[in-house]
Amino acid sequence: MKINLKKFLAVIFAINSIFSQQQNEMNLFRLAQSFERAGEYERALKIYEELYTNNPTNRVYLEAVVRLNTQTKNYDRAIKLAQSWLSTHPDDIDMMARIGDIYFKAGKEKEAIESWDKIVKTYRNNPGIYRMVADYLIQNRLYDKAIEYLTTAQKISGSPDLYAFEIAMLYEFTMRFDKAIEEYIKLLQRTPSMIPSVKSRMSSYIDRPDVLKQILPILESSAKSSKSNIGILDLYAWVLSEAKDYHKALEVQKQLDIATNANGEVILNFAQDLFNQEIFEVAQKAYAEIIETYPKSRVLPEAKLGLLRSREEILRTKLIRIENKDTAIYSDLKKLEEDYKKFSQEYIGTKYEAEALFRLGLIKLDIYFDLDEAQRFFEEVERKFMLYLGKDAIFKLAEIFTLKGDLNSAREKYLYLLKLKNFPDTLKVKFLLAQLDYYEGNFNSALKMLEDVSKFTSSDYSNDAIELTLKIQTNRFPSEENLKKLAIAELKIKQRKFGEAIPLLEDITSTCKNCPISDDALFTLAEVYSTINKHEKAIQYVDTLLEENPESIYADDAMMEKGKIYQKLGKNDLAIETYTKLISKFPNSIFVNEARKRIRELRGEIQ
Amino acid sequence: MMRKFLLTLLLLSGIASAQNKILIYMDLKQTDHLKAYGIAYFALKHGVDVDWLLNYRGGSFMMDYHDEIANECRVRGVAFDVISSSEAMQIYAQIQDENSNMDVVRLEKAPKIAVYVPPNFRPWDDAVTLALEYAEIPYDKIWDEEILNGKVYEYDWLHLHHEDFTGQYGKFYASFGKTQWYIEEQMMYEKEAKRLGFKKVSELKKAVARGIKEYIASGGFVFAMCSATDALDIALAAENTDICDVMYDGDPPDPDCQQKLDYSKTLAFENFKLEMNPYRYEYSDIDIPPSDPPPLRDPSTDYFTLFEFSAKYDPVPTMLTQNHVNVIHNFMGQTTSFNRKLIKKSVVILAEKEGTDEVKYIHGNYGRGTFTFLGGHDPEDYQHAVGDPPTDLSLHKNSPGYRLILNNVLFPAAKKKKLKT
Repeated sequence: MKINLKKFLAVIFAINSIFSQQQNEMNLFRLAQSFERAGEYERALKIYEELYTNNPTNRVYLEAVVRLNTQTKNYDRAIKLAQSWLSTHPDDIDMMARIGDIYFKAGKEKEAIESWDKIVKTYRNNPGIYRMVADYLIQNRLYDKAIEYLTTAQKISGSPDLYAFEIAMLYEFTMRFDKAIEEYIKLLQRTPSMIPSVKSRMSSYIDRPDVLKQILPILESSAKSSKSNIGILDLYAWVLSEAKDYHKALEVQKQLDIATNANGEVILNFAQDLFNQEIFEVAQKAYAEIIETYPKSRVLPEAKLGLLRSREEILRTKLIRIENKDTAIYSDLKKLEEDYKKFSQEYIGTKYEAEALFRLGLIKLDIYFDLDEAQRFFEEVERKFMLYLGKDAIFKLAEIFTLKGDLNSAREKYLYLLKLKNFPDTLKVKFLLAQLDYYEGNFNSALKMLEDVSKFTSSDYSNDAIELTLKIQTNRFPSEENLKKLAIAELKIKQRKFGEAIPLLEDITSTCKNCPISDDALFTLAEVYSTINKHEKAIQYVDTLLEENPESIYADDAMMEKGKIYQKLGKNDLAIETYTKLISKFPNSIFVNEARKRIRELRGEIQ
Repeated sequence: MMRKFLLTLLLLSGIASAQNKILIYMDLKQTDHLKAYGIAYFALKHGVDVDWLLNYRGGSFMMDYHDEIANECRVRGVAFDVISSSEAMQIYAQIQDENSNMDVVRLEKAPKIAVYVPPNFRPWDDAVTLALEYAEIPYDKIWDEEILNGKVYEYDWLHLHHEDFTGQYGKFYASFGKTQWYIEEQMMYEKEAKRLGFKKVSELKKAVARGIKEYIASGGFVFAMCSATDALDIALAAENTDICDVMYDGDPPDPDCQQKLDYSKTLAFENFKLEMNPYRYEYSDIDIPPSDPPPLRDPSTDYFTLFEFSAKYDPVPTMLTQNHVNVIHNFMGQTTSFNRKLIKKSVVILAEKEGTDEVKYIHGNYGRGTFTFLGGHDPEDYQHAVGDPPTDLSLHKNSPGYRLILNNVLFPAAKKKKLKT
């Protein structure tokens, strides 16, 4: 076969020419795009116009020409181009919608709306068209009109949750949160698994009281009619918790528990959240609900323990707050102890028994100061549950031995803890051991141990260690006798034997008036008298300290104490006067900020 | 006889204490520089004149001794000395010495302060409001309507919050355009514009900018920080053109807007070039270094320096630059500093980053009033971002940057000008 070389070359040339023409066009288009990105609209437009003139059927070029004419405010030209395109492409709905967009940007809102309305009327049964037009409306921030289109689309589609998320968002933009929640409800009715997305959107405004007021009644009524919808119940419970209506939230959590067949686990999670937030009353109610409704649930022991813990915390709060404790509180306390005991018997050998015994020990120690009984419970925990709460029990036992005055046994316990592998609280134990040495008058060994602790300045105990070191070093001369008395007095105070502590302290103040230690003794006396509510006597000792040792390191401390006592007695003017004196006399004291704050509180300037 | 003696003693002690003075020193020994301004304000509010001792121990305050003021100093934690009249005379003599660069400015009236602040919650804070709150200096909040209806003339001093007078909502669109707070803010502004008879927010803001300029012309004192500074001037220059893109005002900007800017209308800047990219977090080339992209600098080596002025001949710039240090840690903002090349010749430069074109702090006169612009957002938060917690000024009691703000607050107390109403 003979090849016609001329023809072959012509074909190759033609292909090459077409290709290079296309390449050139593409390069021009890219150049125009880069001009557009740089904000050089006039130059970009010129190229786009050229490209479109040469390719009048290319929609990409048309779109660019329309866009750039709009950007440069050549609205008439943009509309003309779009209309001309539509004359040959009558089904290009996007271009129709774009005409509305150009009208709007040209300030012709009426024409814009008319052209958008015309599109949706023409395609009235197609929800997708409404959505497409709504996008243009949203771009132009015509949210109300966009809502109108999208809700119409929702209606004609027969699917109540179609575009619900988008509609809700638009309602949020327009601050109609009641309407937004209605859309979210529609969405959750069909797709409860959307709850995380809904919560995520709502979390940006849920803390606003005005919003809560708007949405809560709607959610309530919806939850009533959709008792088994997990999404709606979850949302309602969450909103109620945000509104701090925990009682109602619990009721909804109960429904949610039923709807999810959770057998009490949903309620337990809620109860534990409440407990951690210290909302003990409702937590107690929630735990009780599990026990009553789900007696066979696997979370029953957790619920029972939670209930007991909540009751305990409520009683502890009452004991702190109420000045005159009535017998009712103590009878509740007795009942609580009995219930802890029953609980420990019920779950014998388990961690629940350990928890119950430990709590009983704490009640005996903190509330009743019944050291023997407390010791019995902690020893039981140590014996039976060494791996679970054993170390905590040993700590408590050492504390009890100290309070009983059996310092050797206390030391034994601390030393045992120190020997344990990977024991995390070594510094704490070392400080407590040093304290034991101090109480016993073994100041040298106390100082040695304290040195170990104070090296670790990041530790919580280093400050305490430095303070005790200073106390020992400052007061052991000229004689250690008074320091020994002071140490014993401090131990007696710890043991709540105030009657025994006072004579020791008074002995120091009378026998060694000019010794450095007399400041410590006077100040401690003031504190003791304040603790036992003998305020006049406390003030008397503060005044003695300030008169006899105005340069004492406790002077600012004592003045602060005096101010607090006046405040306790309701003598606010005297309290202000004392705090002002403190600021004026000791401007560098660590109590100055606290004193200022208290003055401002008493003057009603801050809450 | 005894009663007479006691009465005489009481009178004598009264006279003695009346002659005494309270000296609130403002050098490095001061425990709380920021609250010291509040004490000066407190004294003025109670009818006690305050002498501002320019360049004396960091710009100290002196006033007659009163127990109430001394107590208030103690309660607020402001260090002071009680000095005798003869000691006070010595200080005055030292200040008046011709060889010393010091002077005394008498503060006579507690200025009435307004902060131009939007009524809605905004997720970031304002350094001036923080400073006023901390120093316990009372202020009122005003907004567009109060500027337009002339209520602003009731105030001696106006602070401009981080407002965007160009109508571009801080140019936050790229980062925050889809967030609830941004959308709500835009809607609220649009509603407000319509209520006040403006078609666009940008038109309202331009009118407000003009209102602020007229307020200055009539004798008002304006202090602006961060983006309120350049945005104000841009709005004034753009009076006859549209610089806002479609997402801000619903239509594209005028393609010739740059050429149509009228620099004769601005207060401080000229010949600036607008940043027309709506997605860029920047208004113009006034801001230096540009905020977008955020500049990479080492905060520990970024400083600016205060200029020293002649206290006796230039008391106003001297007042505005009173400080216990003259080299201050820099701080960023949407507008961090001003490009030296674009500042009008009539404007006084108060602080700059040495060796660069970055001018931090400027002051100028317009009509019977003055304006002072300070670049940056928060003097104690190097790079404050939207949503960051507000600065706790109790941790920055001696902040030199915050002192610059408070100098501005007291500065109107030194002058007595009747405002046009």
